Amino acid sequence: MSLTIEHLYKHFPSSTRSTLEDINLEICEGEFICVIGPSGCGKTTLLNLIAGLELPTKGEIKLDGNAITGAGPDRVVMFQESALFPWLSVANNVKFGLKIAGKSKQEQEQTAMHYLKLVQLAHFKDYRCHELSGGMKQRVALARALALDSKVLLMDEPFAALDKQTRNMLRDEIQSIFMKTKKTVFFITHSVEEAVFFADRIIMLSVTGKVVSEFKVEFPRPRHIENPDFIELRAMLLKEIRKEVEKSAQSEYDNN
Amino acid sequence: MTITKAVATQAVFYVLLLAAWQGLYFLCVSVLGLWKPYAFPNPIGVWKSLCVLIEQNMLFVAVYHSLKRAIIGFLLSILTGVVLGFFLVKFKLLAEAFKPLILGFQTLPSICWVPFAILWFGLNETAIIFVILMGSTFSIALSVDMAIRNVNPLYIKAAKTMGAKGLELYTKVICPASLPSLITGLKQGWSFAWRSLMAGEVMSASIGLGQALTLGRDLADINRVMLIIIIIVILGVLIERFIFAGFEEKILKKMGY
Ligand SMILES: Nc1ncnc2c1ncn2[C@@H]1O[C@H](COP(=O)(O)OP(=O)(O)O)[C@@H](O)[C@H]1O
Ligand SMILES: [Mg+2]
Repeated sequence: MSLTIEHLYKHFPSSTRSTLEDINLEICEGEFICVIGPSGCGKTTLLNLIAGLELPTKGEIKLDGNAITGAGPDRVVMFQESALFPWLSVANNVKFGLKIAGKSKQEQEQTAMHYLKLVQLAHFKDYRCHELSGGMKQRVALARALALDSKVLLMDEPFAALDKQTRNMLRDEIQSIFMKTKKTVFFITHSVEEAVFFADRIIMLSVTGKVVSEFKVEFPRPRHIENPDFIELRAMLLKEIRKEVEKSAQSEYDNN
Repeated sequence: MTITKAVATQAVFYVLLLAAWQGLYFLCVSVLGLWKPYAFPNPIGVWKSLCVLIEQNMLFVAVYHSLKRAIIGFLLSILTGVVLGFFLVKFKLLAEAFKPLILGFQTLPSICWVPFAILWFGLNETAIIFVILMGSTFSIALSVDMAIRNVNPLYIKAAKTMGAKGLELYTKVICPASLPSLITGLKQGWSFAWRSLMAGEVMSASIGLGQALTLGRDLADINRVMLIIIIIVILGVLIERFIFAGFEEKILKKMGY
């Protein structure tokens, strides 16, 4: 698996400037990439472009050498809100993509149960989504995304809508899941702590939608946020991102 | 417990209402002579009318014919309304041009279609069905359009990234996601169909509740007119309560809304 992004530009017609400018990235098999950056800098747009939900203005995104022209199950997205289908049970939500892929009933059942066990929700398979808490919903959404065994998993701030306690619990759980599955993940977050916790590599976007810097994170897993190295890297990144936010405040100030 | 209590409260309310009505009639018509008896219905008179109509087997025949027409007309309206609704969703540019027209047709009282229907079809069943169709199709079409447009785009995005496309997107996501608002739309469509039916029946001479109403007028029998109105109201409430509300509740519950 390889995902390459070359000279990618995105300019929404309704906007006065480019949202993304000259993005170049290469993501390797099994890598966990985190993208951070101030709000509104184009993180979601970048993810949508990879997902094929938006098309680039200029440049190209290639998955295993093939240009991306639309959405597809080789690039499953997990959204900020769970996006689970309320008219389906938990198990049927997880089976949704498998059904579309034309898998046999038996295989659907097996795969769905396997991933529901992985997120520790096997007992809830017949529940309706509205009967689950926010954290449980996101775990079902993760099971649904993992069940399709896509080449790359795209996650757009999947914990942003959760309370802090749930978020911290889920974080540990997801870390252990990804240590098992070794998936290639493209993960967006506005939390520096989350990025340092998960990433092999952190990409920082500027307010103008450019890649400003990249950091490799080579701490062993499982990671712990109390570790001195962890705290140091987090502080450094926070400083960087603050600079970016200030720049954006300054540019807005100048424009007024 | 609470349900029986609610039913009991309602029963008491209606008994009191009937008593008050009879009392008012007694006071205004019999004692003070403010109105002539033929101008003011009273519960006992309505009851007598009911007995007469049942005895002559007119009531059930009228109800049967009216319901049959309403159901045929409504089902046809669903068919045309859904097709028209999909058309509005699918062809956005044309839809923009057509929408004001459809909105206009929806607000047009269906009785306006009666002369048209009679000229086209004559005084017969088809004319009444046509009036129902014109009365409820546009409302159904607009709610289908609205229901589909209001589907959370997040669901569609999620489905697309899981491999759904084309027709599957409609059958597996858009239809179930829009079902709750579709049912609301159908309910509204039914109430339009029911009203249009009455407009059609009052104007034509086919056996039915509307015609029974006109007959009551011709006989200057205000109690009979009142009786038919009450029956029309009761039928409307029963259908709304026991068919649509039950259906709605079941589906909404299943879907967790
Ligand atoms: N569909 C769209 N049409 C026009 N502008 C958009 C659209 N989507 C996003 N944008 C603009 O692009 C910028 C980046 O948005 P987004 O990618 O959501 O940022 P982030 O996820 O980093 O907070 C914002 O300024 C937003 O207004
Ligand atoms: Mg975003």
